[in-house]
Amino acid sequence: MASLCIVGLSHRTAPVDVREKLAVPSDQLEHTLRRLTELPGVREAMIVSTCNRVEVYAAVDHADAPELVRRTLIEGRALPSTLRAHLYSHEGQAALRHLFRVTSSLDSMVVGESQILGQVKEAYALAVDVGTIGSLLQRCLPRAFQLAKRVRTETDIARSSASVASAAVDLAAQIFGELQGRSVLVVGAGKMGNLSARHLRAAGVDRLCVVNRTRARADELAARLGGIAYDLAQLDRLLAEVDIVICSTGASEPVLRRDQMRKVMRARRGRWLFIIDIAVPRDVEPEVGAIENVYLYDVDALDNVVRSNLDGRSKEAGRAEEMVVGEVDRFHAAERTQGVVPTIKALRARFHDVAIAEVERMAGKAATDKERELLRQLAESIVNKLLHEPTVALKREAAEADAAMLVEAVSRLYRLPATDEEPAVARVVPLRPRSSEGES
Amino acid sequence: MPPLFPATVALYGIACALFFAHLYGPYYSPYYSPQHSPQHSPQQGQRQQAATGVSSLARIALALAFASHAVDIGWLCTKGMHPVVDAKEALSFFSWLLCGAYLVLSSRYRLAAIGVVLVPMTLVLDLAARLSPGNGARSAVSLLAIVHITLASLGVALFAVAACGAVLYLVEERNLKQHRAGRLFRRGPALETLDTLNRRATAVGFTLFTVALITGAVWLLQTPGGDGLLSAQYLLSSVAWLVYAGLIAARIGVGFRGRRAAVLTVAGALTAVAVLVVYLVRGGRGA
Repeated sequence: MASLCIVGLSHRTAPVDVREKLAVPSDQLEHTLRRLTELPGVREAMIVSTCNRVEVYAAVDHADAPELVRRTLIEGRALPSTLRAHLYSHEGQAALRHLFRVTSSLDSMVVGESQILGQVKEAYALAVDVGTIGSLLQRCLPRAFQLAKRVRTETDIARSSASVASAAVDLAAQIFGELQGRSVLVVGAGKMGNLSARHLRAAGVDRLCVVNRTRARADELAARLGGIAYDLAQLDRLLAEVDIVICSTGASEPVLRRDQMRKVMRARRGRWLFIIDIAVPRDVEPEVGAIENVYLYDVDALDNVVRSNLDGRSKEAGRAEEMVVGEVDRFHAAERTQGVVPTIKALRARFHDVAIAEVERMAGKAATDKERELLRQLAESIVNKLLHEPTVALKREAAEADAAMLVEAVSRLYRLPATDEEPAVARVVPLRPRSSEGES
Repeated sequence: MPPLFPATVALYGIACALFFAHLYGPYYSPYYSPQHSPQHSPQQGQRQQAATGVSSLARIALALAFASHAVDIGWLCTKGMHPVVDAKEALSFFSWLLCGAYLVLSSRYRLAAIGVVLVPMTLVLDLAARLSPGNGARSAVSLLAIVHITLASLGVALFAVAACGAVLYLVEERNLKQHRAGRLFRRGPALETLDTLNRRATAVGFTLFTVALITGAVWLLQTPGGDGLLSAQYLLSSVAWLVYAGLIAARIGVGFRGRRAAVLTVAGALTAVAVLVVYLVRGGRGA
């Protein structure tokens, strides 16, 4: 029987320069998903690739499968094997707990933020579309989404969420003081970049410029944020004018380089420049941060600030952790109960067949149809009454402990046919994320 | 001992405690606004109000201390113990000017974090002045000497405030570069505010210091004996003046700002304070 397995890395185990190497670009997600499910022992797969984590959620039925997933992620993409040191893997109950913690935003860089739930939902929807979701992930993921919703409504974890975007505003204010009269340049159309721009706008920033590789996308974004779109060719001129730059492109190479920024700073006569680089892979060369009066913050740097803003959150996070543990226990109990369902069904079928056969034999042709129906109902009622106690006992045993021995005993006693049937599952329905706010 | 000295010390002490309470109070976002930052918890608003209240109380206590200190200085002047002729009075006068310069500047900028350094400094200088033995001089003083000493002290006081701001700038700047959000991040003024404070305090201080240097030169030339313009004190003053002149020229000419300006401000202030120290060590004998 397949079990849940998670292989990946996150902001807890890898710095941004490692995460950006392992990130799976959106145009390669489908291909990677298919490759993963072609691996021996991997029956289902889903990939969550955000700026803070790259994780493969898989249903595996072989002990070597996690290693094969690791190989696919690292060596399969010609990445250095040193990255392996940053990878973690969870299996079984630990994997389920990790999934629940991730969707409930307990494993997030900013505990309590809501973006991760939308991102996991997007990853799930894509895997459903590609056809790499099966019965196990289909049971786990909706459960995780429900738990995340419950955590958000039943605890205050999200209420005091100090987001990356508001940390960006605090930092801008720490450099410039009042933000009225300041100008922001948004480079790229990443969702988190837009969110930060909206926060800065709300904090009083007057002028907002948008630059994107695609002019139409820049126009659309500028209209939405209340800014002005410019051509990419005007980037250097804009860099010399604005006070804050937010980069969140999907480019695989840096967009702002050290030499270019040195020239820009000369043109600015040393005026302070605050650069927020929320892209993974990063859009700004790290050396740019060493230039005088340039303050460069990538996602990890923002993390430092956000963490220092978190106070009074641990109590609520503790409550949410308890909810996760409870949900893991309930899920496992339900899964084990599901495991005895085929045996119960076979047992009932065996009793039913015997009872109906006996009714037919005894009634023969002498009885009328009405009498035969009455006898049939009587037989079924006796079967139900006889099987009630064993059914309850089997389910109870399965929920509380491993019911394998009992199942084996029942199967042998009544000579039940062997069954590989998976627990019944509903039709796969893609879940579309409601939130449009993703990290990057 | 001046009549209000205990009250002055007590008020300075209260102001110090309040400035520390402001710096080490619970976190709030200084830029919190319910309309602009709905993502902050409602606690933020309460904390912001509390912190603003503590900061205002600190400034009120400091203003009362300043007034009380002024009464003491005036009372001593009527007794003939003038800052111009008595080194310890000069020290007390300097600490009073330092406090005044800070009060004026803090009415314009959010400078509670500087108060944490500057107000204890004022208190220590005043205590040192009162508790050290003076020369007990009671003599008539020339108008030129009064103008020179007053302007030089005020200029150095402004340089000292600018230097405190510059040190704060260097600490904050390093924290921001290293992505560390310490307590100053939560309470300190913005980098640009500190640089503006530095520029303005330096500009005004430099103007006053220039006039003080000229009046000092005239006073020295009128005073018989001594080293005249070649005295260590006057040479040091000239060096400090050159540092500040260079800083101001660089600011205007090549847009010099930020870290480099802060370093030069601290260097200039150290030289200017050295002038004051030499003056005090020599017992207030001329410029």
